[in-house]
Amino acid sequence: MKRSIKGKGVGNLEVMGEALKSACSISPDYIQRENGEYLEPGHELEGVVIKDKIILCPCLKGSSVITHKLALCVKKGSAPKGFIFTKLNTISVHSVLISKIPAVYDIDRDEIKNIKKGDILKLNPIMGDVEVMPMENKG
Amino acid sequence: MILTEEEERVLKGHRGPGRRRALEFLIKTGEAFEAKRFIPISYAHLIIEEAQKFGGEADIGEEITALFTEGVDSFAVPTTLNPLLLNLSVKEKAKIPEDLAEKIAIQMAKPISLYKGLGAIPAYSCTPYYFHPLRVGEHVAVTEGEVVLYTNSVLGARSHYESVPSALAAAIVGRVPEFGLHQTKNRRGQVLVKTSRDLIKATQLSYADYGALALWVGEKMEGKIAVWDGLPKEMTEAELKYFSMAHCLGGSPGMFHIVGVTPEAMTKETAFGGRKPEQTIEIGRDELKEAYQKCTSASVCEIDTVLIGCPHCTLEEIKKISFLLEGKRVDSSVRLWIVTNRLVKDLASRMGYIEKIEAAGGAVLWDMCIGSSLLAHSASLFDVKTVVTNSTCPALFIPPLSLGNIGVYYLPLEKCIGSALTGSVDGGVC
Repeated sequence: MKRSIKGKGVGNLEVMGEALKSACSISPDYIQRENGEYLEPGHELEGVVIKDKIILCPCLKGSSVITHKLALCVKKGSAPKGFIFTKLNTISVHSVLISKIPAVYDIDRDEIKNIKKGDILKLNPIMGDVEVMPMENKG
Repeated sequence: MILTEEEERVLKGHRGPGRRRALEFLIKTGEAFEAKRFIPISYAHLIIEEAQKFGGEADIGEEITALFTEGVDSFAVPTTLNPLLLNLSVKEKAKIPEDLAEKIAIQMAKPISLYKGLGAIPAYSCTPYYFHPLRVGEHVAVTEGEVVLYTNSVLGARSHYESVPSALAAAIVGRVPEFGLHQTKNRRGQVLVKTSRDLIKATQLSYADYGALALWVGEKMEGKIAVWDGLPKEMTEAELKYFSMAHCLGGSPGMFHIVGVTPEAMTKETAFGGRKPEQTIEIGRDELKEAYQKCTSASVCEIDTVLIGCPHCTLEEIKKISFLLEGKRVDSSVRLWIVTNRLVKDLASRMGYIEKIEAAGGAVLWDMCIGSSLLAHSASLFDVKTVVTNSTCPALFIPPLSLGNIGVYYLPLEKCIGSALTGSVDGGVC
């Protein structure tokens, strides 16, 4: 059943995409910019294509140039569509601002747990809202 | 956020569009962290992405620079610059193909001129503290991960983990939103990291060991501040530098403490601010080995490039390298690059170290970024296939940046130099 979750947001664009969860932070240093494959050795998303997904993860990590790397992925069409962060750090905020990828954060942890890989999410960062359409409800 | 009259004027555009955009960017950042106000900074350190990278990232860098510098005539605070893609004065020494050097010269000319015109100090180093010493408690805005960690942890100054655009914005408006590591309450340790006795006592830890330890722990921190207990009190500047680099790559929030070593951790209790650790982690040989494996992506015996100097080498390192190379010869198939800042280069030259290194066939370079910039993006031009390094940054980033065309071995300094002498990794032991 569709449900709405309240949080806080960064960015202006509303987006919709498939949820992809990671218990570990991800780094745009490791996004293959041509096809969106995540390349970090040993990471749970290693080898997964994260292009167009809504990524639920603690935050972004990596070098101080991840802002540019994420923005470059947007230009190449290989970037995620949005983020839901369970923690917030400066380089995550800067990266989503520069790349204009919306992000929502400060969401109840139980709500995060209930979002499953493959659920369709709609992010409204201005309101800080996330609409969840569970996978089993997909047309 | 509550703004001063001057900040309101900037926001309304009375100080030009660039300052307005810079302040807006910082306000959005501040609001995400519920900052109430701005605080002034005394210094900034910047990366000019368009003078440090090729291709798409350089283009993005140019766009952001244009956005924030429109109508700006000078930086608000003393501002140093990170290394360049190439120091043109060493292009022959580094055997850079002439057409590539020319292409890089054209690319770098405009941004270098622009930033120098704004009053930037051309330190061109990822060890900018040589050029602008900092005091404990000083509020600054620095970018480049290792610089952030070193500034906060080792020097005791205070900086957000600034990204390239946020540091630029801060340098232009001379302030940052007050939250995070600018506040004492947020600088307390949270996780205790205990090093096993067998790791510390049995071995003299190498620079690569320190990097591996910090990388492994950094990845477990998820935004928390580590307090290391058990590392040698005599950790050198070079060891702290490699440690800082790896800690940031692992995902550190911007600082760590080392009991008895870093200024806000003279005791364990001080580092934790009187609180108990939220968590305790133990690290020993197994974890060290795991981190080394993460940094190793090559599998062939023959190597063609050895990179030392990420971050820029200290005088201590250059002295060690000169001793390891004295009277010997780098294999003719190997490119040995040792990179430093120009202050260390001048001293090393006066002390005869550079002469020994270059007599052996090594190249001492300065003012530029090794590996993760130049080589990774131009593997085919250099015919680079297998790199040996003692730094986590090129070890982790060269393979994905080169789209898998370059493999890397991560080894202690002595084995890096040994590889350079034989042309085979670790003297042929694969």
